[in-house]
Amino acid sequence: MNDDGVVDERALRASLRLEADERPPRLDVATLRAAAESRTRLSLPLLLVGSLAFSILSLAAVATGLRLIVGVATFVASVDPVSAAVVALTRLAEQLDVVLVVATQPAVPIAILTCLVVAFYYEHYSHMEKTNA
Amino acid sequence: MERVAAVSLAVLPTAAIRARGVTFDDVVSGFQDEVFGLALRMTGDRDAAGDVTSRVFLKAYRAFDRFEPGRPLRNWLLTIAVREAISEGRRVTRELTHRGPQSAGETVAAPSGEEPEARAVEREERERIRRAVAALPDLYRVPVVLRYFNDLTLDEIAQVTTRPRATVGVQLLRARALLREALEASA
Repeated sequence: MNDDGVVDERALRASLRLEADERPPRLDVATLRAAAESRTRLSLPLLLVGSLAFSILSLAAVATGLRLIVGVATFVASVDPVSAAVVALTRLAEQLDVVLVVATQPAVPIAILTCLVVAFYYEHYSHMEKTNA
Repeated sequence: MERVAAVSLAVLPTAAIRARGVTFDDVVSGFQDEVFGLALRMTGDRDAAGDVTSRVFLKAYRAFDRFEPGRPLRNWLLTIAVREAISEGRRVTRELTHRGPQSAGETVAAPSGEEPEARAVEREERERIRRAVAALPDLYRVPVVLRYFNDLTLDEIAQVTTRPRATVGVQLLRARALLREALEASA
């Protein structure tokens, strides 16, 4: 180690050097070549089968997509737009009816008016107090 | 064919190597130790290093005829070796984590019983540094091994790792600082 706060380069080189007893056994180039060739020979049929499978799957996906689009289009075309709109409006009206019933109770406008009056007076007196302070 | 020395292969671009009639066998015998050593220092495991070496030359064999003629063969092989060693190192780490800490010391060579004390101390120090290097993150371990094991210049490391030269310089300095910290902590 040196004084710069880092490990000495010579020590690193010496430590990382490959020792005589660490040297690997010779690679058998013939085996390596045979392995590479066998995979190369295999890869062509694999590529063909893979391409074929991919093509079939792609065609199936496109066919399914087309059928789905046609089905949705047929369903939309088969529905009468006026009757569908009436049904939707009716459902909305049913939901709103509950709100209207509550809103038309006499207690509601009276409560609202009372709230408004109380709020008005509160704000008015608060303003007066701030002005007088 | 006459065997070509690794040193002369290392400095020649691929086109010149082919023009001299160098075969794949020459390339394997010329670079096998260097690729194996890089893998060993990167993974810290002899078996893993052997696997990496085989895979590197398998890939090199397949791509040997298509390789860019102007590019130095050695840098190309080391680029493949670095990638393979990183992925193998991760696999080894996962395996060691899975197996538990008791098997983590298997890769360290045991000193012989008749070794003189000074040599034993030296060996122990080397092992400590190797372990510290193997424990560095990939980001720092790769330039350290390429620089201090493969003896590559900063420009060559930049080419192999596709990092800017200045970045490589900074990473080497940072790596040495990290190594010192690790060694001091383990002392």
